[in-house]
Amino acid sequence: MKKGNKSKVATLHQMTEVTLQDSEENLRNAYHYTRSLIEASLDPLVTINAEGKISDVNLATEKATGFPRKTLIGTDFSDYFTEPEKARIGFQKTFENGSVIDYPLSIRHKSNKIIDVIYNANVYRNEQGKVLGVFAAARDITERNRVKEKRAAELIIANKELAFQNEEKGKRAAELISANKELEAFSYSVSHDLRAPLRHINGYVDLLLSRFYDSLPDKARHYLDNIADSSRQMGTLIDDLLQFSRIGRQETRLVEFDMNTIVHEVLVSIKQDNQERNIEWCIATLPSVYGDKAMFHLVWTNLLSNAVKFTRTREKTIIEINVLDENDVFIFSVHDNGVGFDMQYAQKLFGVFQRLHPIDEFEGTGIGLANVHHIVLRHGGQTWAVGEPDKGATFYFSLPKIKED
Amino acid sequence: MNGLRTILLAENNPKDVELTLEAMTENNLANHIFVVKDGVEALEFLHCEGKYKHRKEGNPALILLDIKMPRMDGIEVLRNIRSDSALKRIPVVVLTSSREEKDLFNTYELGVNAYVLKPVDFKQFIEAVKQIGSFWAVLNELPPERGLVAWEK
Repeated sequence: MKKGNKSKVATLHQMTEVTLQDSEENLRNAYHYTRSLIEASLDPLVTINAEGKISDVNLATEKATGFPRKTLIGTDFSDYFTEPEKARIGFQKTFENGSVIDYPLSIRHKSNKIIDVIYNANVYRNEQGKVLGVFAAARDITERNRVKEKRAAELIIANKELAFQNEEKGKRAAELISANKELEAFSYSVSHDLRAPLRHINGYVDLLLSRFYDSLPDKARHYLDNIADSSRQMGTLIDDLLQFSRIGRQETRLVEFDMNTIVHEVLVSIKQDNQERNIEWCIATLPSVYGDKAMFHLVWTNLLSNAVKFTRTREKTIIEINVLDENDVFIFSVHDNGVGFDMQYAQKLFGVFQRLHPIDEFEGTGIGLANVHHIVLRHGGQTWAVGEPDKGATFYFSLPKIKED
Repeated sequence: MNGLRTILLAENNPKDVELTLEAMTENNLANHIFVVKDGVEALEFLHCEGKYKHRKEGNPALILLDIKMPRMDGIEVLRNIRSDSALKRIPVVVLTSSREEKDLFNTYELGVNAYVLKPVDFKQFIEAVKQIGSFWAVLNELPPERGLVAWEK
């Protein structure tokens, strides 16, 4: 270190009141103190003279560059950076503005290892205020950059993962759409292709019976009757199955409507079909609800025609339609005095193609209550039934009330 | 002719053809029916092209159209007929097994005159064919200069 620097340090410490010897000693102490501070710094510190030559370095600079102090001093400071030109610009800026802050550079270690740093630099002056050079402190930001890069890399991976998930979701949605389309095509095919052979069976059986009735033995006529009967039954099954699948595919069109209207519409056609029956209808006043009108038309059609069907053996039929107001839901019920059912099979009632009575006693495919269950479920409600053999049955379904919003 | 006019039946299934003809026989309409087995043939017939190059010109009084046919389906045939100035006035009745909503919608969208579901029950089927035949081939008045010309089979 040059003499001028020493005196500057002395000035800083304001040691003007002491004796000459004291002052000499103090100066040496001050020098050691300052030097220790400089060397203790973990940041590479360097002083550069006006010509751009290194005039002083600390231990951290030796570590960062891999060169010993004596090699470094006197050499061009910009030689130790990956971008010497950028380093010189920073140096120039410090001269022009008196300082630079957070100036990014990369130090090239002797071993070619790169250390990313940011520089804070100030000019230093003599007592007359003349700029003598630049005092620069570097901070190693390799670790910081590494963390940043790692985060960035993690972010990229996370983004990729997200993009992948989105793509997967898109794929699933596409698969679902295509599965739905396939299902549609399937039921279309069932609707069209399965009916055609049935129609042919019926047609030819009918032609046989009408054209050759007289020449057919009784047994043959009986067989033909059974063929016709079975094909008719299959026709009904196909129609019912299609209806069931259509309910699954159909979107619900939700509107507010008066349940009384629907029930009375259904009743008109049921009464029409059962004019010979002696039926007493007890119908409570029903509330307005929120749902798909057409679907509830089907619900009531199924429930009421079931009630009528399973009371067929009664001389006098009584069918009651009721509603219970239970907090958030309405519970609708249809009670009949019909043949009832054994509660141990209650959970089977709402399954597809489930029947609890022999087909020759009560006709049907077992799809009606499955439709009811499906529709009610889609409206956020539940279905259940209570019965006893020969003591009638009650079918319930719940329906959430209209939301106030 | 006894006031009866000709019907073009586009139907791919030979059993359906036979049963339809049986039904028409019961109504004395069978002799006035011309059968094609898919949409392409139907259009060839209507345009007097291909193997129908030499048929006597003139539109049928009615086209009975199945929807599901090989090569060209009924919807396509209907689209072609309705966009052709020489054919667009011909009454078209769809006679099909399909009760799919989209078929109903599409055919009416294209201007079908009627849509009849083939009943599975043969008696009902005969009744349906009988009503279609007597209404469209006897009762219905056709637009002038169309469909009055019969042809040789």
